This record gives sequence, structure tokens and C-alpha cells, in this order.
Amino acid sequence: MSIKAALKRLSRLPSAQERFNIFTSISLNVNNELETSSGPLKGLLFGIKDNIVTKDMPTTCGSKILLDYKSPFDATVVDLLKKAGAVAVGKTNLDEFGMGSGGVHSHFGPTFNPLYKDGNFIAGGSSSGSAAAVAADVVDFSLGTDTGGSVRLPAAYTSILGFKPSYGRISRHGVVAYAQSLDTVGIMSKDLNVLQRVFRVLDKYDPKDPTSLNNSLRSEASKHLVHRNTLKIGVPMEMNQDVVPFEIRQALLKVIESLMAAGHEILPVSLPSVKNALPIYYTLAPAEAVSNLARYDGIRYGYRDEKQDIEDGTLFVPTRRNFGSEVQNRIVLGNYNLCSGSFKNNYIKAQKLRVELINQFDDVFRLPNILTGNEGNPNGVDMLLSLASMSLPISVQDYKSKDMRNPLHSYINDIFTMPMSLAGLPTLTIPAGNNMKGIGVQLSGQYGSDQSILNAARTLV
Amino acid sequence: MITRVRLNFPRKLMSTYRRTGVVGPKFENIHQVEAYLSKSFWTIEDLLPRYDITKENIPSEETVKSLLKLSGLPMQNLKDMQLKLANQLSFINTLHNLPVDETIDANHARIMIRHPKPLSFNDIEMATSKEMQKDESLGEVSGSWDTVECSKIHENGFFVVREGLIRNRD
Amino acid sequence: MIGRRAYGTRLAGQKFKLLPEYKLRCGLEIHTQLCTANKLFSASTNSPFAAADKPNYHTSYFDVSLPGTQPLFNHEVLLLATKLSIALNCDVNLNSQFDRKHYFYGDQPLGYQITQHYSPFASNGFLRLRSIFDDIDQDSKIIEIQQLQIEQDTGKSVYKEQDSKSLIDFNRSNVPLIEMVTRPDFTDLKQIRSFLKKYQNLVRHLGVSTGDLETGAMRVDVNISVNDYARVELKNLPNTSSIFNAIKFEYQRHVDIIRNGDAEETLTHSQTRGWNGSSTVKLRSKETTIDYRYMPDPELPRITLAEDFVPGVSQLMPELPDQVLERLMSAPYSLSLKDAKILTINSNSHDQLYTQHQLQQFYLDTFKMYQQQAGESFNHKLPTNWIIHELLGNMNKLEIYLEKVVEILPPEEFSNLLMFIHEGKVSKASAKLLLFHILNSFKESNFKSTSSLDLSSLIKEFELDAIEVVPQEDLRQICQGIIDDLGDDNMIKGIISGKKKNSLKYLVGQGMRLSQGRIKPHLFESTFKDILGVKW
Repeated sequence: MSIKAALKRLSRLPSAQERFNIFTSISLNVNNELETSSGPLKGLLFGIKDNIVTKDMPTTCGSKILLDYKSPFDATVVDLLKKAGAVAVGKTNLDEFGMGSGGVHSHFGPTFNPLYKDGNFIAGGSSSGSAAAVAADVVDFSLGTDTGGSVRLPAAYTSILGFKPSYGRISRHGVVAYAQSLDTVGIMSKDLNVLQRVFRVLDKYDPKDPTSLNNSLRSEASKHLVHRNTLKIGVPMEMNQDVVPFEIRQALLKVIESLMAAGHEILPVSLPSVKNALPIYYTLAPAEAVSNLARYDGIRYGYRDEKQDIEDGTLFVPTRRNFGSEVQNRIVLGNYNLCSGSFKNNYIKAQKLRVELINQFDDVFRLPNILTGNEGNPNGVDMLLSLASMSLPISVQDYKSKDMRNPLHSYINDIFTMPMSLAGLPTLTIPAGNNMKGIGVQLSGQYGSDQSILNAARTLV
Repeated sequence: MITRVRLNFPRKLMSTYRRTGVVGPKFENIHQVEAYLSKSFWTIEDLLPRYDITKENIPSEETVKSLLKLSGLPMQNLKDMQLKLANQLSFINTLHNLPVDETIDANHARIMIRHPKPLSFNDIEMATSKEMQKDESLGEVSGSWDTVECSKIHENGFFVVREGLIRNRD
Repeated sequence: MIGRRAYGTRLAGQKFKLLPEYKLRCGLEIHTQLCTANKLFSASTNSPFAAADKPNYHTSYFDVSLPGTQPLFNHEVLLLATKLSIALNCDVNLNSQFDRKHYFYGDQPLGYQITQHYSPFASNGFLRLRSIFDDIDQDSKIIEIQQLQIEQDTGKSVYKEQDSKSLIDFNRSNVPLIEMVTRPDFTDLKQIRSFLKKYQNLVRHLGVSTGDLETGAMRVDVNISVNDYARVELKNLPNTSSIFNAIKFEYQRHVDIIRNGDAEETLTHSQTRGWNGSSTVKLRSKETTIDYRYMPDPELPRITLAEDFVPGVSQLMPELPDQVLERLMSAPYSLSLKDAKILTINSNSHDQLYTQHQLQQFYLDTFKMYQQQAGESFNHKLPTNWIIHELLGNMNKLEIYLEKVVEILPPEEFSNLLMFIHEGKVSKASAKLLLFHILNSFKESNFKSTSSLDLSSLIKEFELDAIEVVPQEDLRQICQGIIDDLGDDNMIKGIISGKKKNSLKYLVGQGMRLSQGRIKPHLFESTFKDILGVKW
């Protein structure tokens, strides 16, 4: 990638920022770094979702609570990319603390979808800015985070590639936690080669992250690759929903058609617990979020109320009231689930149901799962194919009013992406459909089989 | 022309509660796939609140107040919060009625190795000596960074809470 | 008139007594800071008592919960926790986990404490008190230990009253603690006192903690109930006296309530109370209890231990204090409990000129050599007196560390000294002088001795040797001189008549003084008797 190409991208930045509200901060150092950087990713520009900490730009998480926060350290992923020669353009906008699927719940205002040049349409969330930066051709790739679909959904809505690797492959050191048992750093780009190269740089064990997949398991995983030329691809029946518009179902059908034409086998699979994915997620994730947001009290960093640290006998309320309403709702819900009265019935039960879901994925895959120890199904599939979203991107206005009428509305958007999050499976969103209107399909595989997914994707892009 | 297609998926599998994942026989042609995709085996509407949110099943004001206190959030918009919570709960409470295998170890829900190799005495000794090393990039070296630099209010190297910390706690 | 009864105010000025109709039941919850090199979930330095002028000095990014930081478990904690568990006869949980306990506080950076609630590290242990070692009224008392759990310590806050604000220092944040919970087995105060001493000594002996109450390295909460009414938890007890004063006060308060028939009303719900120096005050009741919403930590894997781990740690364990006491109190040492404790129990972990281990080793080595040299006639009291009393006394007076003493007086030499005393070659008084001299000159030479010690020549040099054979003439002369110089005829008459027998001792004493202890007292005694014509 030449500097010339990079500069061309940068020239689009000001107007893209103005139009689509992509970045929360922009680096002042880009030109310099372009000159001096070296490594396998030299010349590549990238956006960093603003819940990944950086030393030289603030990390706000899209929230008033961390408005001017400057981290004294870089996240491991940022460090690795810098060392590989890539240059960070800025921090990208997001739903506050990663909570949301529309990209509208940010202290900095919503990010708009560059695919829709007329009108203000949602880019999807929570990695809205990261998706928009790629879709607007300002950067070569972006880092996002995916907890329930936050990389894959905006990738679908902006018709770009969005990759959520197996949980634990990419280090979370320096990633501001939303739900630690689900958070995964993801990569977004228009170019599969770029995505692959970036993944190679980031797919490393990090001793600073207690959940990082260790080296012996990584080599174990690399023994289990899908070697065949003809793949067996499963389509989960629980993801067939008649509310999905015809256009979107057609997009999936077209993808399947081309796969069949290439000689691959398509099979129906059933994963009964997929029906439970949403309630499981919304029991577990808010509970973990409550815990991870408990540290924001303004005492050691972040925004702080000017006058007081206590209100009505409760510490830190003056500062914490500055969380956005979506975050506040999830905190209250999360606390409900954690309270001793409900813990066993809600939280523990949801965990057990999650185990069932993971086991069911293991039932349909041919490859074994190196974490669970479940052996593969000899008649199983190599990969799963499904839609990434239930609808086309709608206008921000419509989204907000739907939200008002039905508070559950935004939760349901994640229905297709959530099951893979709960199982930590590697999943790639690939643009589909004609006319690039914001439709994507997901290709997912057994835990650890990331490379097989990326290889298979070549036939589809 | 409507093609009647025989789905190969055994009907009975679709109705009983099943706890395992199943792979069916491959599709022979694209029409079978089309028929398959156009069917819905359950709907999202199943997830949406089945009952009307009424005074009887809405969380009480007391409940919401105590939740707000635990959350460190202000006591305001209580009615609003009651309603929101009621909606969210009706959604996730669908889990209550689901049967689940009680012998499942809830710990296995984490995406971590389920049956790790137990740590031997030697493993622990080795880990201990490795962990003696301080990592500067984690701020572990004493005095290596200005700990109070990120805070809005600090005094002589101390953090400040503008309040006598309440004594009725642990 | 409606008034609140002030219970427990009768305490002052009255001697405390447990009343048999009002049965006391107590349990203890003790938090102990571990002396690992680094903290529990980060490798920042574990030094909670860093000088006050360096607040927030030993704090990593994780210790102040910066966004994006994660816990990294320090395995050294397992070694110390296991040692303590073994010493307390507990079952070690080979598959324990960490949980988060949520509450907001200025000294709690994460908004939660990482602790072990659902699956603690060890359980079902006991510590046995025995009257031969411990100061209790019963022969034996077993205190059962419910569990041991590993958890983080919090930061420290100091309240500035005038400015209405608290200053927070996180040096202590994330320091590893072990919380030990006993069953409510204590039935009197002596048991509690003995237990605390024993537990404190145990953690010091194992090298697990300094066990100091004053610095807060060890913190004690007490659960108390009387006649099986509701349990009251007592907190904020910074030292031993506040612990016992609070227990006494609270016991009396319960007794008064029960006597007045208010127990059904006042003692049905559990409560948490603090101590303000003169009375207990209510902190929290069941109604205002915080819901901690314990949640398993999603980032920390369970601690899964192999079968060989506990036995492996067992091998590293020193002999336990009671076993050592038992050994020292039996033959051949036959030490008194008091003396045995000096060699075993660290009652004050700071400012000591020796460690228990060093002193014990010195004692045992010297004893062994002396025993060999002396053979059948060895006197077990000799090494005891001379090491535990004389040597320590001199060390304290001269402020010399045992480490240094051993350089000039290693066990072989000390044993030689004991032999001189044993064989009567030097009197006790002379030996005392000699010992002092050796230590003092060593100290003055700045602990550099050029030649090895030669006791014989030293003794000769200072004319400390006992005079074996005393010429009768010289002896009579000395005695006569003493009598003449006395100028107290009454005393002499008293001695002769037998009315003032004790005064003879005085004369003998004078003789000892003049001869610098080199002549045995009985010789003086017989000579005086002879001169004065004493018939008795």
C-alpha cells in the first residue's frame, strides 16, 4: 500500500466526518507516522473503536463518563498494529460502552450509514464508527468489538466484511469491558486480504489477558483445519424467520446458489437453543455490564460532578447519572438479575442454557471443540451459513421512534448474531444481495477454526 | 408454478423439545432450499411479552428504588424505569419456564477450557517465580507513573472523596 | 415516659464476669494480610505500609482499575494459603473460584471486591487449644474453622473532618488477604485471647503474615450471641483491648436486654455494631443490609490443583509451634512453658534481635554440644539459664543481634563456657562478668574479632578463675578483716547467739565481693563460723 493511496483516503476524511459523524477523535500524527512506519502492514490506515484504549488519543467509550479520559497505556492490539506499521487515523464512534445495535446511543450523537448518501440511516452498532470509516473509504480497516453482534451487524448494514474471531484469539488487554465472557475484538474491512493480514498480526497469545487462548491450545486448533475443497455448509432452521423481508432472504438464497454451483453441499441443521439466545444474552450481558461499569465513580479518572460525590445517601450518583439512558437501563436490569433473590433463577439458569447452546453447536460441527472436549460429529458440517440481520438499515429517526414505542425493539436486531457470540465461534459477515444496500450473511465455524473460515470466504467475495 | 417439495427433515423433530443439535440430509437442489428458507419454525413474536404489563406484574417502586441505589443512579423517573424493567423482564423471563438439565455445570458457560490440566506443585512454583517479574507496561513498577494524573481532584498524591466515607459498611 | 434503655453502661468500674445463666457464644472472622512479594492480581509491590509520604506509589494500572485492565493471578498466594490451611487442619478445595462482591466505596476501585464466596479455598479445619500450652480453663478446647478464603484488600481512606473529605491511598489495594471464619465455638474470653495469640503466632511462624493488629495486617471481627438469641457482629476493633472491651460491653448489653425482658423485641434480628472506644454502636441491621450480588468472575479461571500439590507444600512446612513446644518441654530439654515459648513464639514481630528460629537453633545446637561434653552429669537447666536468661539479657542491654553473637560465640564456644561453669572452674558471678565482657568488647571492636575466643586465657587474664585451694591462713585473714571492719558488735553477737542467723549470709556476701566470686561461699561460711565460734 503506497503512501499515495493512504493520502487519498485521508483526503476523504473531513467530508466523511462532517456527513457521517464517524470519529470521536482524530490523530494529528498520521502523516508523520505514514512516513516513518515499517512492517508488514506499512501504509495501511485504520480506525480504532473508541472503547479500545490508546495513549495518544482520548478513550471515551462514546460516553460523557469518560469524556476526556487519556489512558497511560495502549491496548495490546494497538501496540501490535503500530509495530506492524499500520497507522491509526482516529478513534471511532460507538454506542455508549458498546451497548446498542443501532449506533445511535452515543454522547457524540449517532453515526450515519455511508451507504445511504441521502438521508440519515443507521450504520448499526455498536461498532458504528468503525464500520462507517471503512464504508466511507477513509481507512483500510477498523478495529471493532463484538459482544452480541457489534462488529457483524454494522458490517452487514454497511455492506463490508466484518470478522469476529474465536473468543480469546485476539487480546482484550486494553479493551474496555462490557461483558468479559463475550467481548471479542473484531476486524472490519472491504478487502479480505487486508483483513487476513491484520488478523495474522493480532492472532497472538497475550499473557496480560487472563482469557487469552494459550499457545498449546492454539497449536491444537491448528491441527483441526478444514482441508477439503468441497465444504458441507449448514443452514440453521431456527434462523428462518418469516418477518425477514423477501429481499434479504433472496440475498441468502443467492449465496447458497453460488455455493452449490461451486460444488459445496448445503444441509439443514437444527440448533433448538438458538431460540433462547436472546433471553440468555440479556440475562448474562447486563449482569456482567453492571459489574464492569461499577468502577466509574469519577474518583480516579473520567468525568466527575463538579460539586458532589454523594446524593440521597448513595455514593457517586452525581457522577454516574451521566451515563446515557440505554446504559442506565441495562445496569438496572443487570442488577435485577444479580440480586440474591433472582440470581439462581435468572443468572445461573441462563448460564446452564448457554452451555446447552454451546453443546448443540458441537453436535452439528464435524470438527471437535478444543475447549469443551466434545468430539466432532462425523456427519457434521464444516461451517454454518445464516443471515446477519433481520432487516435493512432504517433511518435514525425511525429507529429512535421504534425504540421509544418498544424498548425491546433494539434487542431483537441481534437475533442472528447472538448465538455465535454465546458460543465464542469465529464468524465472518460477508456482504450479499444486489446493489449494496446493507445486507450481509454470516459464515461461522467451530471454535478455533478461524483460518478455515477466512479461506472459505475467498469463494464468496 | 408452485413446486411441492418434500422436506426431508423428519416432522417429529420439529415439535418435541430436543436438547441436541441435529444435521439433516443435504438439499438436492435450490428449490428445496428456497422452500426451507421460507418457512418459519418459530417467530420472534414468541419472544415478545405474552402478557400485558399491568399493575400486578410490574416491579414495585420499592424494587426499582433499591435497584437504582445498587446501581449508583439517581432516584428519578421511577414510573418510567418500572415500565422499562417490566418489559425487559417479560422478555427474559421466558427462560423461567424452560426445562434445563440441572446437572450442567454453570461454569462451563464460559468460553474457556472446560477440563483444564490441574496445576501441580511444580507448575505453581514455576508460575510463582515468573510472576515475580514486574511489567512496566502494566504500571507494576513502583512509582513509575503518576497514579493521580488522570483524576480531576487530588491532593498531595492522594485521591479525594468529598464526603466522610459512610461507616456503615464492611 | 418513653425512653431508650441504655444497656451496658454499668461496665465501667466493675470487674467483668461471665454469668452462668447467660451463655456466651462467640465466633471470629479474621482477615490476615499475606506477605507475598507482589499483590494478589497484579505484580505491583505488596507493601501496604509504605511511608505515608508516598501514597499511591505501589499501584499498577489494575490496582486503580483503569479501563481495559485485567486481573492476573499471583500464584505465590496459593503456597501461603495452603500452608495455613494445612496448619489449620483444613480440607483444601482443589477446584476453587473467585467471585465478585459488589458495593460502592471510595477505597474500592473496581466497585467490587474479588473474593471467594461460592467456592472458598479451604474448609472444615480446627485449631486445638490445650491448657499445657495455652492459657485456658479447660484441658482442651477445639475451635472449628468453617472456611478460609482468598480475597483482595481495599485501599485506605483517611477522613479529614474540617474539610469534610476523605483522602484515599491505594497502596493497600489488591494486597492478598486470607479471611478465616471460625464456628461460634468460643464460650469464654480466655479461649478467645489464647486463640488470637496462637493464630497470630502461627501465621508468623509459617511466614505467611506479620500478624500485627496495630498495622492492620490482621483484623478481627467478632460474632457474639448470648443464650442463642440473635447474633451481633462487632467490627472496627483495631487492637486487642478494643476487641475485649467490645466483647465485654456487648455481652453485658445482651444480658441487660434479656434480664429486662426485651430480648424478643431487640435481639431477634442480626446486627452489625462498631466500637467507638467506650461503647458499641449500631452500624447496620438486617433491613439495611447491602445486597452484594456475588457473581463468579468471568475472567478468572477456576484454580484447579493437582493431587500432589497439598502434599508438596506439606513437605515445606516447618514443625508446628505446639509440636515444638511439646518437644522442648520434654526431656532432655525439659523447659518450662514460659521458656519454651520464648524459643518458639514470636509475640512481637518487630524490633527483635533474633528470630525464633535463630534462637531455637542456637539453643539446640549448644545444648547438644554441651550434652556431649558433659556426658551423664549434664544439667539441663544450665543451657536454659545461660541462653534464655543471661545471653538474651545481655543482648538486650547491649542491643546486639543474635546473628552477631554467633560470630564470636558460636555454639561450640558457648558450650565450652557452659562446661567451665559446669566444672566449677569459674563461678556463676564470674561467668556473668565474662559473658558481658566478651560481648561488649566484640561490639566495641565493631564486630571484628581478630582471633578466636580463648576462654581459658581470658579467665586467667581477668583472674576470674575459681580458686581451687584456698590457703587457710589467707581465708582467715580475709574473714577476720571483714569482721573487724564491720564495726557492728550487735550483729556479731546475734550471729554467735543464733538470733541473727541470716546476718551470716551478709558476711559471706562480703567475702564473695572481696574475692570477686572466686572463692566458694561455703568456704567463707565455715571459716566465719569457725572464727566466731558458732555452734549452730
